[in-house]
Amino acid sequence: MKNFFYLSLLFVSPFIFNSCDTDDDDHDHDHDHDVVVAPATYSFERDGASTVSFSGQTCRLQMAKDIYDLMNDADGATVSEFLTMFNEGTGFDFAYTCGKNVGGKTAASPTASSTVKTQFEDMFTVLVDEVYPNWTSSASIGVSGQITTSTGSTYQVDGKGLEIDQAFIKGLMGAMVVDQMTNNYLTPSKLDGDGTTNNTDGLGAGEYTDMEHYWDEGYGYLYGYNNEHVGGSDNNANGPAEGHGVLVNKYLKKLDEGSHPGIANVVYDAFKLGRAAIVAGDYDLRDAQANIIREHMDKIIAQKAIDYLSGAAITIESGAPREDTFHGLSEGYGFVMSLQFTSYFSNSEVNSMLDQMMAGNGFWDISADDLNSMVGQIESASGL
Amino acid sequence: MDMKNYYYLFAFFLVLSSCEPDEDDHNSDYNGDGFDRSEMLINWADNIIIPAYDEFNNTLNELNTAINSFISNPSISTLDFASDAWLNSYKYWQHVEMFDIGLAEVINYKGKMNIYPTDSYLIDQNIESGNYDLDNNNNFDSRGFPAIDYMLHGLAESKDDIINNYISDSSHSQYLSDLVNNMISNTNLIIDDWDSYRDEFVSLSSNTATSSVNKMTNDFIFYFEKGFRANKFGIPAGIFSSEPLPNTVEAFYKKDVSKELAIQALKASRNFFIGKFFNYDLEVSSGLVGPSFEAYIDYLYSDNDNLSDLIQTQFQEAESKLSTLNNNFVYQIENDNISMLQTYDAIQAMVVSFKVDMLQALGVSVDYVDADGD
Repeated sequence: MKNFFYLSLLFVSPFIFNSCDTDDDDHDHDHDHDVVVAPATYSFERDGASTVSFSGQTCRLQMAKDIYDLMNDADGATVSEFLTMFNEGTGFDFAYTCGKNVGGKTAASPTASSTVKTQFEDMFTVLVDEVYPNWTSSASIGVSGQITTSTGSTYQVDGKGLEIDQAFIKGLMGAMVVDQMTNNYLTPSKLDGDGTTNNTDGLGAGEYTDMEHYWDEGYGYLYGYNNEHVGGSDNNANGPAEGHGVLVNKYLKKLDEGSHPGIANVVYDAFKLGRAAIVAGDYDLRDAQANIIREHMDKIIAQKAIDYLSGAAITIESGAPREDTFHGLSEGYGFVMSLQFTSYFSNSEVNSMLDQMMAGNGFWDISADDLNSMVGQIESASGL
Repeated sequence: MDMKNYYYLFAFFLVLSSCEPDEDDHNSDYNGDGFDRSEMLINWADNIIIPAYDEFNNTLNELNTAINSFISNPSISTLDFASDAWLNSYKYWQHVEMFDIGLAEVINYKGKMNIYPTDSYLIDQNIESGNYDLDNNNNFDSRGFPAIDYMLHGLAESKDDIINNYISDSSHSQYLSDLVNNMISNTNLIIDDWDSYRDEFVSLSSNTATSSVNKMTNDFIFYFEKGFRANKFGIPAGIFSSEPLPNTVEAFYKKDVSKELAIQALKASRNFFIGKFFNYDLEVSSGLVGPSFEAYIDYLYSDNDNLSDLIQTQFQEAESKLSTLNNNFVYQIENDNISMLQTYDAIQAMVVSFKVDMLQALGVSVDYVDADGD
């Protein structure tokens, strides 16, 4: 069923734009794809002024990092303070003025399950009520607290060994970044809207069409993070894989330098060419680029889920202490949550994997076989 | 894959047809695809819309009778009688709310009949002042079924206390009577208009933004997305807010009928999708069927596993999720909102099927967009 949906998405635009315009010819249907040339960098202008804008995404990505950082502090905030930051976008140390928030874009695409946002909100309660009170005392089966790995690293986990901040931020990889990007902004139905979204009539210097902006917003979820608001110079918009921040760009860089060399340029090129295609009115080319982006975003999520789960299985099989697996398993847990926003898995399939991870005493007694079977499931769905 | 080839073929025909000078808006049967859209419009008008309005009007008159007998003799039995008549008419209303076309659209008919949550303070104020115009849009949330809900079930905790409001102060009776009379007069306007509008409606069969097929298709999907999905499930379950908002359910004051109304609304949507003739007995599931979206999709698709099968399966899934909910949505949301959200998910999947896949299959452009973005 899911395939059917995506297949049909591919073909939306020709139908919406099939009327033969006699008045103004924004959309040329007979053009040759070869004439659309992507610029060297993601920069687009109208009458000499940039039309690229994704400040809303920058703000949300910064807020997500702030919440994550606070979750790593002993007694970082109360549940209601966390919820205010998450849902209202206020209450941070830095006084954001963008009026955005993370919660409103968590599992918020047309195909996301509405049950997911609550799972994120509930993490704050577990963190504050169960983990914070035992921050420095030793965790054990069923008891939250601190664990120490055989290499001396310390982490704070709940009674099942789950590190809440990792589940949260790795979960947002899919629930916010991938979901907003590939299930919302880069879909033909969003981009095409009512068929007037790419009308350039009357646009002045630096003004953009809705369609151009939607594409930029998709771009912004991957490349929008910077820390200039706090005086830093990190900026993911500087290139194909800067790797700053705590969300997908970081893993794009990791895969590019590791298991999937070249992936960063493929994605970056697709974003540039898709945006150029919008300017040229070539929606087939645009949708082809969106599909390339989706394919590779999905790959990043699935690859990291596989890496973390199989890594933990190897550690368990080696006979190392259980606690050595918790940090990676917690990251894996978040990436498994994220899988439902790829084209590989549904919400209920993901929930049953999460249940499997949390069954019994959770990470304290999950077996290498269990993990390997989940890895096999993800590999076969993703083709990785 | 077969489907892919089919799409290309279809796109080809569509482009051809839309390139021809389109001067015959009013007598074109075809959309270039061979499907008789006029027959579909005739089915919609004569077998579904007009009969549904007529039957709905009958139930409103019954509600009026029941309210009059309650007003002239306020008692628990006449109150219960009025409450039953209100619920019955409210169920039929679910079968006409989607037809926001023609005069209904012009006068904002659905906005006069079913805006909730109702504003109990404004209603109290209106009763107190005796100075109100229910057709004025300032009163958008103090009229229609939700206002009657408050007047019959929400004025006080106990039935006796509710009745005492009417015994001690005739302005309550006046307001209740004005509410139902306003609903009847607006409904009569719509029904009268369909007498003449019917021919225009069925004649506009082409594929333009203002044709009846395109408008009604958009109205249907808009209703399904907003009137059904968002109003009945999404808003109360907290989809659009940081917390659930149980006080925004339909029939908030009666409370134990939100599910029943939602079941009727889903049934009405399904009936319209398959083209089932309106039946005054809402519980009868069999019956004659004429051309509608299902037949149109089946005509265009030759595959066995086609979109209309998918949508039928999704209707069953939505019905099955809905059937697990408590009759009282306030209770449901406060005790197990996840089930409410899962029902919402099943309905949302249908919105995607309608708004993306069905519109694309029919070659109809969406005429409304969500204004969400950064």
